[in-house]
Amino acid sequence: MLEIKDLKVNVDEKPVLKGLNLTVKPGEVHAIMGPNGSGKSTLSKVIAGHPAYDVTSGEVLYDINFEMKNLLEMEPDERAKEGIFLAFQYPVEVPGVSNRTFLRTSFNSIVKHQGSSELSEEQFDEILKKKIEIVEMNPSFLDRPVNVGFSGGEKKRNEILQMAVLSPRVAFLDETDSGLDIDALRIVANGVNKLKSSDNAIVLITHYQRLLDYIEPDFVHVLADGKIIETGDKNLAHKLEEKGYDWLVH
Amino acid sequence: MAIFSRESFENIEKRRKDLGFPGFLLEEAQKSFDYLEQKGLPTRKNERYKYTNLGFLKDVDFENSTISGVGQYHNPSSNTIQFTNGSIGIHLTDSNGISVFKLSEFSNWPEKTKDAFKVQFSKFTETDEPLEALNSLQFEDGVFVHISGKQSQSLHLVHKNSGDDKQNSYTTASIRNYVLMEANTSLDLLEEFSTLGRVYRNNTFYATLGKGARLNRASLQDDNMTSLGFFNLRIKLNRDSYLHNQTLALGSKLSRNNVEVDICGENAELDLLGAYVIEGDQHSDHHTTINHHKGHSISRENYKGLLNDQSEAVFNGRVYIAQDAQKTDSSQLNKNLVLTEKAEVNTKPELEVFADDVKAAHGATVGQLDPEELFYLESRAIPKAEATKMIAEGFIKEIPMQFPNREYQNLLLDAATKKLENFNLEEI
Repeated sequence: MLEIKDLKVNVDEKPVLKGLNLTVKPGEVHAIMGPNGSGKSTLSKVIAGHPAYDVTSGEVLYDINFEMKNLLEMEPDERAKEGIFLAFQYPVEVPGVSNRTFLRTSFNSIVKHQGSSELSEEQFDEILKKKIEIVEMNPSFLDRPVNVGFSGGEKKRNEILQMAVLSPRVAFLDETDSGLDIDALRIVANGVNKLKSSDNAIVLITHYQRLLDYIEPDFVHVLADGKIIETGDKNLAHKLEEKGYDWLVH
Repeated sequence: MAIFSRESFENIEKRRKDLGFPGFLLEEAQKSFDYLEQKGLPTRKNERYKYTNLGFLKDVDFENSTISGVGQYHNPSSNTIQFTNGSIGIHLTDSNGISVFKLSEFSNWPEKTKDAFKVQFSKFTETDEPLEALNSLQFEDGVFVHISGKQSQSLHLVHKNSGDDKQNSYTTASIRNYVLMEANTSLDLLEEFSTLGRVYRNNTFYATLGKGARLNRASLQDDNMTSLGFFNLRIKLNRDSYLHNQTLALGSKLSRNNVEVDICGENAELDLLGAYVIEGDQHSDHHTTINHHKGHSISRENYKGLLNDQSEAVFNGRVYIAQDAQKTDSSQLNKNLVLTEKAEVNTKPELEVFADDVKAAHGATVGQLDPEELFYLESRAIPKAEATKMIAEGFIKEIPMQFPNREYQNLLLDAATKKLENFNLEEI
């Protein structure tokens, strides 16, 4: 479904990704771990199409209607319409735009692209009522401006709510567990597990093993110095927890 | 620079006299004429007109002020006064505690009303603001609104003016209105402007709030893009009174709003808000003055600007706190969101504080869209142009959303949204 081939990316003219390869198939859960500065966040931002990142070579092929297209040639909103989703590590606040309106506009944009008709405010509100249960969110958050005044945990839950509403085919979750206490972590992980299916794929970018106790990965990759240097199963994560990254990196 | 010939002036004076305008109004007009003849119109060298060029006024046909009007407008759910090229239509659906008198019918007013009006008139007669002096010379008519009842009232003032489309010429539309609110009265007022063709409009609005009176006033300025719009607002607040005044400036090629609020009694409260949403070659100038003559009062000023293309905005916020006005709490904020590189904002606070136990905060920002906010929306399948409009709308909506009357608030929000929808965002 998603094939990243020899991806090289510069940030402020410095190479950060130096030839990354990764293949993701439907129904799979991948975890990407690695030391700080290895390029984990860069990968997810590049997939989403953030303008600050400079792709110098490589391809990202994505299955759209049974044809592998180069994702890097698409605008960020086009990628989202085709089912790419990024849960941000530091979700930004958008003052003046209500969460409800934001979710509905986003939903309708995707649904329209896929050939279905847009939903009215009332129709969408019905759907939203069910979706917020997935992340155990209080409905009062829906009429607040996006992320404004939300705690870290609330922001992360709002990201998963968006994932629930938009039903992406490939979701990158960028350090979704960072800054969360046990309860918030449990809610977020539950949400992700409910959304997981055989038709979609999830890529968890994480620094700590802890999240992987809640969301079981099929593959664990270690990203160091801009490349994936090791791939294993969930046991690799345990080994890293015990021994750190040093033994692999050298 | 002579912009108004003595002959034109004498014609207008004669017409007013024939109609029965009071002598003191005629005397004021004479004083204004002398003042303008002596001083002329301000140029860029005048600090208050540094950024706003009034050269357009040479194309105004000051004598051409009557064209067959646009259709009658009546808001059925509200007391309405319609102004169409100088003629006034009054439709009161609920006249409890609200009386409206036309200045041109002064000679028929009850004596008590004449006396009350004379008092009001004398409070606002001294001015060195040239546009106000021009209004004094030109205004065709106006109303004196007297609010005296216990129940809260609402009033919708609708200005629909029309001119022709001849290049380099403008039709004049000029009105002067007075509002007197007795103690503990309450009024929601929406003043709306729209135009067809090329119109130069120059209006004044003078209001006095009695003790404990509450006025929520909004000015929706949605003139077409070839017109010139000038407005002079002066309001006096007595003790314990409350004023919410907001200006939503959307139209006119060139517009200038002069706003002056005098806090004359203790424990008064003022929310002075404004929003300007402009594009193309529009130029929108807002000069405000808040005078704290007495202490223990609060003023909160918040003006927001949204600029596209090569439009220009000017904000000058003057706050004066007299030596005796202790415990004044005053704050001023002007935030601007500029969508293009060519748009320009000139923003300046002017604080004159003579009391020593006061709060006088002020701040101004001019910034572009946050690229992270934009990317966040794009990553949720919202295309760039639409994402820009969502963020811009969220930014500017804060002002109309604060208007306390729900019906008028919706009119303001719809107008702002419509203006923004039509923004050309190709260049972004």
